Amino acid sequence: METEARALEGTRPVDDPAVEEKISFDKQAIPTHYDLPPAFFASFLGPWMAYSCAYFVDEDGSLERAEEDKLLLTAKKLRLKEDDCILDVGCGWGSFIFFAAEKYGCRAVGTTLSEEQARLVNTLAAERGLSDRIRADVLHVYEMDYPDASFDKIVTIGAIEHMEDLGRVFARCSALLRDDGLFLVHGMTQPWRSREETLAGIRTESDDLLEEHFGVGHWHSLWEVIEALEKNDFEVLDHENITNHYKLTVERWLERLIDGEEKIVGEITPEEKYREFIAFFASYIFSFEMNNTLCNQILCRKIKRGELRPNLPLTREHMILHSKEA
Amino acid sequence: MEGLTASYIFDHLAPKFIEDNPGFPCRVNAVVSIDILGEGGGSWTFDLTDNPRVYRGLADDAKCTLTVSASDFYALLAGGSLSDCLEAFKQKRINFRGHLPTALRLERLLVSLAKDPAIAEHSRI
Ligand SMILES: C[S@@+](CC[C@H](N)C(=O)[O-])C[C@H]1O[C@@H](n2cnc3c(N)ncnc32)[C@H](O)[C@@H]1O
Repeated sequence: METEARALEGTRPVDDPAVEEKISFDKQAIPTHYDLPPAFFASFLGPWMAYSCAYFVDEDGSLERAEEDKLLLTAKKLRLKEDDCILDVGCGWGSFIFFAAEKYGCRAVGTTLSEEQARLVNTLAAERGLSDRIRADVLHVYEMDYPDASFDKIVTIGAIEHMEDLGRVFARCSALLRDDGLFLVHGMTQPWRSREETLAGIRTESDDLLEEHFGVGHWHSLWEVIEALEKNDFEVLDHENITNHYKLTVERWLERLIDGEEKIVGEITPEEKYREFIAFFASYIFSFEMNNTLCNQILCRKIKRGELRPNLPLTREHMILHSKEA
Repeated sequence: MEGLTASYIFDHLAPKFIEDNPGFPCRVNAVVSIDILGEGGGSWTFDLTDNPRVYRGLADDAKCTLTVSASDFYALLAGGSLSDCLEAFKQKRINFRGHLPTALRLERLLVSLAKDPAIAEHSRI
């Protein structure tokens, strides 16, 4: 893959000792969560192993359907095409890159901080004969050193919650994306009132929850995400609030964990870890219910001032889940 | 447990909180039961649906039923912290049947009860 020319042309992304320190911290903290055995996550996630908000067309929808619909919706928003080269920042077990490669024929690179996840993605890619299309790299977002403008589309799903300096994250993404390329940011935010407290040094339940469970948690407010995007040459094309979808998603994960208790505890994970996840999912749901946590999909385009604006879809029709348009 | 009884909490304090905070039942909008085991225990149900009330006994239609020992119950109540309750769950000191997130909606009641002088006093015993 072209992107294997990493670091040859890329700008040096990190130049600050404080940032280096944060990178080492994240590298040690984040995998404590994601390096748990994939079989444990598989026991409650859907078949694509997406560990992020699914998309429900009705309240009673199945996780399987909603998981695939989220991937389809994301692909539609990004207007994926066969010759697209995609970067997925924080790719997890590869749900989106596999979807993009298998359903659209794209080439895709995913990054993660978890060795376990990268190993699984690369092994599955080999097993499915997709090694020439899909690759996962263990790489901190601040250190992404692929050649500039090497991607047609970039996506990040459920990962900005782990990233402290969104300005730095989006600056990297902006450099790696070709001009006019699309960038989809899918992630949780907290309402400004809660965020204000965090910034004033007052810990909120959301902060504690994220940090305790994931090792690292940074919940920004929506306007901060958008500010960081705009400051890095992205224009926002569309924003969709998907908070209720995430509540339904976590409800499904919780149901599966509870239904599968007998098999999961002992065979797959110790009871202590099992209970930790039950408690975490319950408080996650509560946090959505109480408007302490929100979830968004923000679609952007990389723009250059002074360049002729292309024709863009005039309506949202193409990004309606089951619309006929591609 | 001197000076503090489950009856004082469920027959007096909790109904008063519900009466004083008419918006609370709407936020919960469910039936939640709690089974407190051992000396000083008992079973109670919060019906926070159309006609909000607290009554003795467990409800068959509870969205969630919590089980906890009396000593843990009083300690957690005095702490008034949802995080501590979740921690207790992780340590198997609280169990549940049904839909756990619904029980978390009782947080405001927990925080308010912890401020009651008798409960706060109990925590110092
Ligand atoms: C909640 S998972 C979401 C995974 C995937 N996008 C999905 O939808 O299933 C978050 C992912 O972000 C990755 N991640 C967290 N912090 C990161 C960082 N600083 N740099 C790169 N990846 C990071 C984790 O390793 C994990 O793969």
